[in-house]
Amino acid sequence: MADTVAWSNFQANYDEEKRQFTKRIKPGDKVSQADLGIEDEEWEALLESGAVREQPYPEAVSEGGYPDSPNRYFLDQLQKAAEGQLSADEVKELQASGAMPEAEVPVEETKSASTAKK
Amino acid sequence: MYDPSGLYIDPILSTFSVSLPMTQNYYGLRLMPETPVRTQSGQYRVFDRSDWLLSEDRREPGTVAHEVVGGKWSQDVFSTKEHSLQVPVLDEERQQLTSLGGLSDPVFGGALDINPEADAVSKITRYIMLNHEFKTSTLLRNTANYPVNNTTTLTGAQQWDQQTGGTYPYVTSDPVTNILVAMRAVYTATLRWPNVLAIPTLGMSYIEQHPRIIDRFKYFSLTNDGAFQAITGFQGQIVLLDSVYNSAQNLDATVSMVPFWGKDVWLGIVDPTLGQNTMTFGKTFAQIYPDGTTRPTERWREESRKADLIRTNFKYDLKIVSSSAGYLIKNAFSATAW
Repeated sequence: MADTVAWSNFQANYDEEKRQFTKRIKPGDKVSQADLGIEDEEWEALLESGAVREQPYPEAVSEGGYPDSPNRYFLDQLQKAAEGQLSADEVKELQASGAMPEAEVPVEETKSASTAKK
Repeated sequence: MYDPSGLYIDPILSTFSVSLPMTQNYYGLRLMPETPVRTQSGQYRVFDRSDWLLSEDRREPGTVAHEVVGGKWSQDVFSTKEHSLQVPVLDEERQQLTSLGGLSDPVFGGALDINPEADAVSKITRYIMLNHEFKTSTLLRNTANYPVNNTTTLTGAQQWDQQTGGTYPYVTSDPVTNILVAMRAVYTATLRWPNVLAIPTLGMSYIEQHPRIIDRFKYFSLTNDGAFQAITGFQGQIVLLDSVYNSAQNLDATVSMVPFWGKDVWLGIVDPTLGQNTMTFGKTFAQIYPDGTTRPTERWREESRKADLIRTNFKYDLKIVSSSAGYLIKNAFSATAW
């Protein structure tokens, strides 16, 4: 099974003495059923709701460089892709997100979508 | 001479029938308030805080004052799509209704309160609003629509109906802290406190009985004005979400009622006012029709079908205009809570 990634903040490992959770899982971190210590049914529900996904979380959002939501980020990136302003790496990220079809990925050596058309 | 039972047909009572409530509250327009627009698509400005700068403003006599640069903004677009449904009212309906033996016949106790036209408008409006509610709840309940710090998901003993673990009253789940964290996240991003807290109506009883809540209100009464707000630390409006829909594929399939809002809790800023420089999580941009309304109903005759057609329209775009003005607490209640 592919790695699963958090698309929400999670907490785990409750310390009864300190009365607080000692483990924090942020959006973009890898997360497993064992990390959260939950039953199969609840894990399946998390996958179904999209709080945990196999789809990677955009780094620009998780690292704070982009202040809005992942969906908004992908929309902006698609807009830039249409204008030929994305690097090959950014196009690959979009493709991995499922927001852009495989066929639109530029050739490996190119630096941007616009140069790929030349 | 005759068997009496064969001489009698049970009438349908005109004074009694059984039904679930024919109307229900919808929260889509409450959480994503309607903004009437005059064009199908358009742009609106989004101001950031880049011009909240400290600027040298000291001016010496005889010198020119320092000048500041104008603010900058980005632009976003809305694009409305029409949502429209129609239903026929057949001539045969009216004819049968008022015929001898029809439900409106005095033999059956007088005119039954059936108005096909009014019922038709009510039905198609309900269908359209159910779809709007579904779209709104789908948008609000998707963690991908929130910035990195504006969503948390509760699991296992953290869920508010799970009141175990720890030492009473400090059980593992903690709605008060969860709500305060959410409030701080919204405030940090927008400099405004959230003013709406939306909770599934069935979840409220778990919160009111939660040990950490009880511990906080043991010194005063919940009947005091604003007591719940004081307990949770939330000072805005609490909206109890209870809208549901039938998820079956068609009218004949087994009815399966599904709550739109599931087990999630949402809080954020909702500002229904129009105007510049407002802050709200989302909007329903609704295009105004030529009759001046945003949800007109039309009626016309189709002679070939011997029917009057009734159609209601709603042209809108649901748009998150400021994602950081909302916070999603996913799975605040467990799957078994209700």
